[in-house]
Amino acid sequence: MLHRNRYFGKYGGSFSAETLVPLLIEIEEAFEEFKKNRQMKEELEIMLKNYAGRPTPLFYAKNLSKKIGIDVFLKREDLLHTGAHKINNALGQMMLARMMGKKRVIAETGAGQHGVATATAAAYLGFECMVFMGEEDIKRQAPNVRKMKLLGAEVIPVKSGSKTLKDAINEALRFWIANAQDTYYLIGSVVGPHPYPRIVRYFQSVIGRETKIQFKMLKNRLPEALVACVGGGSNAAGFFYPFIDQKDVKLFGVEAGGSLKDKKKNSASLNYGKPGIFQGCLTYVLQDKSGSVLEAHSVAPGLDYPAVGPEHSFWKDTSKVEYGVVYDEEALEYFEILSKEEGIIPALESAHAVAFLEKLAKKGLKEAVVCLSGRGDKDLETFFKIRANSYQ
Amino acid sequence: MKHSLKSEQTLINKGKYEILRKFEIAKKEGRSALICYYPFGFPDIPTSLDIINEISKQADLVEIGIPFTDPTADGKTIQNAYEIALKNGANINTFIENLNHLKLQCPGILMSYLNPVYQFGIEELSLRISKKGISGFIFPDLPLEEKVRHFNKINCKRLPINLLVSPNDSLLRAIKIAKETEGFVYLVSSLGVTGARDRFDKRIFNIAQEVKKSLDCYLAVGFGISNPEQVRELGSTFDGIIIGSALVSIIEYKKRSDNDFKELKDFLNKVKNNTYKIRA
Repeated sequence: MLHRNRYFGKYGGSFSAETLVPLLIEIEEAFEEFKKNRQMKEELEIMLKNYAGRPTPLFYAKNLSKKIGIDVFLKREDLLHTGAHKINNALGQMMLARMMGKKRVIAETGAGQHGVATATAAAYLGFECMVFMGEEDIKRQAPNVRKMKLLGAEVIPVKSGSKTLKDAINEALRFWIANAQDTYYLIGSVVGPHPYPRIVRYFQSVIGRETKIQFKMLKNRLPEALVACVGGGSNAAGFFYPFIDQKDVKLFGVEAGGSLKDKKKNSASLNYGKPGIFQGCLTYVLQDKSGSVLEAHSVAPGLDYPAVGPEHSFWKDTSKVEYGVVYDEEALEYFEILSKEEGIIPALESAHAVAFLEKLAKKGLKEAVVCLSGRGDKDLETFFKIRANSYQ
Repeated sequence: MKHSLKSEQTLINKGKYEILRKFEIAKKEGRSALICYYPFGFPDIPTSLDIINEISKQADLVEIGIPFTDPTADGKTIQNAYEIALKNGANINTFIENLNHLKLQCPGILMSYLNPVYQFGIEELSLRISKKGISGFIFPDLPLEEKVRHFNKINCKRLPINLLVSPNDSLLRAIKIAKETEGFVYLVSSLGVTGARDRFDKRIFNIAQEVKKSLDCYLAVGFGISNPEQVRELGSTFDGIIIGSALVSIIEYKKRSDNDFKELKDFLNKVKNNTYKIRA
């Protein structure tokens, strides 16, 4: 039976095809066993340290602080192997796949970061790997596609629907339904049916745990606020979770508002969506009156998703986290500002969180830690296409 | 209070009765029940309603598919049909608007991903569609546990929900599902999404036999059944045969001149003939 504890308040659950239910139960069992197994947890810890490069630094961004008028600390997930927080989860779930005796892992990817992380972990740990990616994203994120191929993964172009992240998940689910016996679906965010939202949050919580220790060493107290971008919401979930019951720490999730020129098209499901059942769980979804799911839009492909992890829906309704919106234009501006001020090129996804600092400063906050979830190499082409006139 | 309890019983039980009666009749006639699926709105809304009405003359039950943007349990054929149907404006709301054009000769079953129904409200929906000959639901993304959690509340005035069993289910789980289903048991023929295939999973035959040993229930098999030969082959094990994508394909490749659905009718005739069990 599926576990009773598969909900976050009213959100979450396991709305999947019956064919997947025996697998979801099997994965949950492996996950419970993993959490109890000290040896395996140590093995993961060593991999995260020596292979992925943990712990990541907590960096005081002095120039940016001066510019915005709020003390800014960056949790440098961008310095991890493969350039984003995604590797934390990829290595963790790969251990579950190994425990279950699966030979092949599949993954979906939007920005390509989770695809690269999964392909990397598969190369290292000896799994066959297939990555489903929307055709639209393949065009926008060419460098990551090449990386995945070099790492030995097969990249499957997805031509259905909006040809972005949600369609990649649909296609991965379809493949999985047909190949349930030998395949592990390594989902990249805190989305999908139970137990995935819990598993991904568990493996990403290392971000928040480290931040807590590092900040205490620096200031001997907890930070005033945490800020992270939210698409599906994996970096935010892992970053916030160790702080979630700390009432003196304000938590801010930042959704992608799309372009200021067309506010109707966005990826801000917590701000502009309503509860619905989508890709395995009950959560906030961008949808029309008939329950059709809308196409999302964001300049940041990793945020380009019309729903959000169910735990974020719960945190929103219980006011544990406040969710704001940053538009494409603002994110692009801070992509450039962080590069010029600190010499750090952020992923466009993470640039949404950085841009939100300006709003926090206006609110009168004095200090914030931003999860810099990824680096921006993959976004250079997008940036220079939009800013062609400023750089000749 | 007593009154509402009674009417809840009425709607579920009435639907259940209408569905199960068709299985009983088929059984008496020495054949398996023929259950045909067709998506609302493909190739356009009026034609799809004509086709559904036409199918209902031959079938024992007709499943009407509500188009959804993200049909994760469906293969290419139904995905494409849904994409076109959505472009035509077909959805749960326009289906309700068009209910008067539905002239079903057999009980209908609404087959929908959960979200459109969740948004519309299952009670209101049940009330409206039950008046137009629809007797039950199939939700491809509703497993046993979520059905129990969300739809088993007392006083829930809704139509019965038919649950699915998959070849990789344990026998224990399959029996639990068969006990919880409110009409027939929908057995998935093999691992994978909907759409034509040559082979079926052996485990589903085993599940069918074992479930029958411990429970008195009707079992229908679906997913990938595309020709009359398969219908004959499967008829010896299962009480009902479900055909879906194959009908969509016929309409997909239909010649423009074929206005009276001749090809579809011929196919349905052949299939229906093959539901009769050969006597040894």
